[in-house]
Amino acid sequence: MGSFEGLDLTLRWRGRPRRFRYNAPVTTLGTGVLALLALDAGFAVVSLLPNQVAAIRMAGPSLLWWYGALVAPIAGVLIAVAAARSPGAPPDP
Amino acid sequence: MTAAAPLLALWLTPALWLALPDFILEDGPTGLWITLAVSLIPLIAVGVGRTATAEREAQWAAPFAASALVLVTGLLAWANLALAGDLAAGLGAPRWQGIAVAAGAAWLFTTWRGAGRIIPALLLAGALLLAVPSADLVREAGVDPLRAWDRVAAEAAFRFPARSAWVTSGQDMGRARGRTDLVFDEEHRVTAPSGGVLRSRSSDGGGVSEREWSLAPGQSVTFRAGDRLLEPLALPLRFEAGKRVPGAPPSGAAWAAGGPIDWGRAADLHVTLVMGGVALLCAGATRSFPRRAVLMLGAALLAVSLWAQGWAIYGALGAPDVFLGGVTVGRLAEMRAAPPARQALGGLVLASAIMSFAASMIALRDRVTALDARASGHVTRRPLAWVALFGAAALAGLYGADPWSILMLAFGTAAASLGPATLWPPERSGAATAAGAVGLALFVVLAALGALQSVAPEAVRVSRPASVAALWTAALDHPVLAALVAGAAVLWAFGRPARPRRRQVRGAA
Repeated sequence: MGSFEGLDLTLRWRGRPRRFRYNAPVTTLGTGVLALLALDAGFAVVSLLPNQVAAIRMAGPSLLWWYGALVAPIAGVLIAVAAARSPGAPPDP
Repeated sequence: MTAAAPLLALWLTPALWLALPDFILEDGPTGLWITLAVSLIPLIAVGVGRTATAEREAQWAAPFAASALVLVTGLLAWANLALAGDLAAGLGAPRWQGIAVAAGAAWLFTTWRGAGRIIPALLLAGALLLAVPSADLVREAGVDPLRAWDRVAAEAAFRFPARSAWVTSGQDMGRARGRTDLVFDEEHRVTAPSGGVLRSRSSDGGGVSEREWSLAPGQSVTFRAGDRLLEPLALPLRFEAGKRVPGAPPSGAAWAAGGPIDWGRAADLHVTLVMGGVALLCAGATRSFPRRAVLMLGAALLAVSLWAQGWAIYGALGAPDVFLGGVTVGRLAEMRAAPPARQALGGLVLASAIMSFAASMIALRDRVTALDARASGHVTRRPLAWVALFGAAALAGLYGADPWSILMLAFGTAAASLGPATLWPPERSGAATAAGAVGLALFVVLAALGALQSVAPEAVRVSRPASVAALWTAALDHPVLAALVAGAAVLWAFGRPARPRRRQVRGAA
């Protein structure tokens, strides 16, 4: 996700010839924050899975515990690192 | 570590991180969900902080933001000093001693101008102090974390160990919850080593009866399944070894599966934590984090999350009497069943909490000073103001309030006053101030009415029309949500959100 940083991807008209250019301020920032919020909400989603899927034991703990204890926190760190500014990138505006 | 340390110190205040094992023990998966949120919120704040614009910096320059942060700092200090009092009481010392030591240490550090440099050292020292009792818990259990979880989940019931201090010598019920009734799941003989008055409520053939015993020192009363011991305030009691712990989950499997989630309460808690945390962590911060700092921050948060789970699981395994009357943060330091290891462990936890509290207050002082400087144009240090803040928080801490409730009040205040403008920075700082003032005022009024509702429900009841009554009830139940909506509405009305500046396209015309 960090590879998109700095790209302006807005859909907007140019002069002649009239055509689209994909060039909007879409950055990893919003996506990263939303993904982290989704990870938090994902705990509720996993706990609501049908047929008590969340209670399935894997190497001891249940699926829900694996998600909350390791999977989501590690995924959160990876997402945040990917969304962070790379060392060579220009400073944030 | 150096770049991530102030943010880590700001967030991981002891009243927050020490509450995590409490929640995991008390609610199983629901507690784990709170732990997950706590480990994700600083990463969310880093993401939100990256959108720092000139408009947001102008917003933070408003004196209102500095005042709101001072208010939040005072509430955070109160929560942590109340916790220090609880921990000291758990060690058998008077509450005021724990409060005085913690307040004194924090004040000394905040008056030292260069204290910001030692935040990483304070955090490291706190972590090392905590590592000793944690390693001791693992050594005593003698099993790896996965097997420990499996063993707790396989417990048929949580029973008093024979070496528990609640069994051998008896303990003061004030150290448990003290104001909560104990409900017995099976026949249980309770002894009052130094005598006292016990009151119970029991159901007999459809009727409910209350009884009272005046016990001489060493006398016992036998309770039956379903009997309720009423408000055993500050009374030493001894329980039977091998009997179920009153207040504990029915079984390990029930604890691991957790009860049904109260979605309204969960949503309110998560909104308060996320919005309050993001607002607090972004307050006055405009520096973006490089990847290495984010990685360090994430690794530290993951370590705290794993520590909380381990502390809860090994604690339930080694000292199931921690469930007695409901888990409280102050008793989490008593995870070893028998003294003197229990005292030593508790002392190390208290020392670690004081280190963390000092680091947290230094980080907050630096934020408040930076905001103050932006608002006034020059750096002003106010040692007397910090004396007043810690003094007021220490006096309030002497009253035995629940640290978590005060912490939620602090996060609610941060969310209501700073939250909307943090997420949607307006172009004018006046709009941010108006939104914050309206949100804060509404939050304070609704929180006060909510507290009044618990003692006099009729005084704040609105019964008609039905739609207004429903809205009124929802606002009283979720004051942070109501304040956020009001703040966002003010922003929408008075200040157009600042448009993010377009980034320069590399190589594009």
